Amino acid sequence: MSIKSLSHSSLTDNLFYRSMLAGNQPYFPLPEGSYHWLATETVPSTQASATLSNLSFWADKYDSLQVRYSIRSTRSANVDGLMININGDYTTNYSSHNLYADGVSIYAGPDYPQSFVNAAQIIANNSTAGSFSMGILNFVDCFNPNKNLSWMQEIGGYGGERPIAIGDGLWMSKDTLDSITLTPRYGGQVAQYSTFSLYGLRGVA
Amino acid sequence: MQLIQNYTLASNQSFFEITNIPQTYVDLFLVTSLKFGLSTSYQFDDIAIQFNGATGNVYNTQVLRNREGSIAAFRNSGTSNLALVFGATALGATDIFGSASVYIEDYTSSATKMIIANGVTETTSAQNVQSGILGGEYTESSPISSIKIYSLNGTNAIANSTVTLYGISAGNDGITVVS
Repeated sequence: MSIKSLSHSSLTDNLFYRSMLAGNQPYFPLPEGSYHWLATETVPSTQASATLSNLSFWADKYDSLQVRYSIRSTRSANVDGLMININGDYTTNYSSHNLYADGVSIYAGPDYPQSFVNAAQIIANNSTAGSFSMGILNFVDCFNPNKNLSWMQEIGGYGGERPIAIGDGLWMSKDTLDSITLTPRYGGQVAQYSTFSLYGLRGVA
Repeated sequence: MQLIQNYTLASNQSFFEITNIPQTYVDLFLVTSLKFGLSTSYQFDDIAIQFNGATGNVYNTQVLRNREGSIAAFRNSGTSNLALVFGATALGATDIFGSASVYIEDYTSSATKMIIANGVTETTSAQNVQSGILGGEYTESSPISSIKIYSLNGTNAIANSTVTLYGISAGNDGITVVS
């Protein structure tokens, strides 16, 4: 895009801009290293879901993204499920497979076809107060237009029925990744103080 | 964490090899997005890794794996490669690539190098997937200066497969205390 002149666009022409960027793309100098923290948001009060958006902004800067989250559901039970949707797509474009454990036994299960990726179980309202499930989503080479979007996922927590799991998710689309939505599955909401962080992994120096 | 090398295949080739790895980091972290050329009858394949071109019986692995809903735990000692028996797709998985990561500890050490890895594949069916986690060892005393990544079943790596190697540094921030 062309560079907009601050003096001509904003001051002399009486245009209002919310920042001194005056319509220009922000300059974003990348820090040292190749694994960067990009954002963290903590849920201020209970809400239906949590969405990390505008991810396509990072498409020319990072090869891979990682989401690390701490989540609890308000469902009146020990656990809730967790669903993941990409780019606001709620059609049956997803599949997932997980390996679960509950401290005694292990289980494996597919979820196909689904209108979401099953990200296993999260701690809910009847579990110990203040306990949250911790999860990681690894989106490797996630902006490659030749690949349908798939990712590694793992989650852990103490309590509930199947509180730890490793697995994978697939969104059968090559559209540019732009948003990730996490939603409790069985009627709960995302509890206050749940936290979501985004990291980027560089593929070029 | 610092990028050492990233490589995406423009066309099919038999293996990846990362050479001249700098000896200036503490650990290595390898991230892969792989598809191999096992026939369209298959939707997943296994990843094999060798360090420094070592083909002797110098690799030990212990694995927890979910293959098509069947859970298995097993170990293999004295093998000729580090077999990640998960993490790559095959030709039956249309435009879907497996994901895996491999963490190699203290790779410049003269002692046995410890490895932890995990990986997944996906597909559009209930079956035909595998994922798992691996603990492993490379028992040679020489520091790791090269890594070869290839199909355990001998097929080509497919175009758009990607490997990325990072170096992990150590240091002291002057604040954190470990005692």
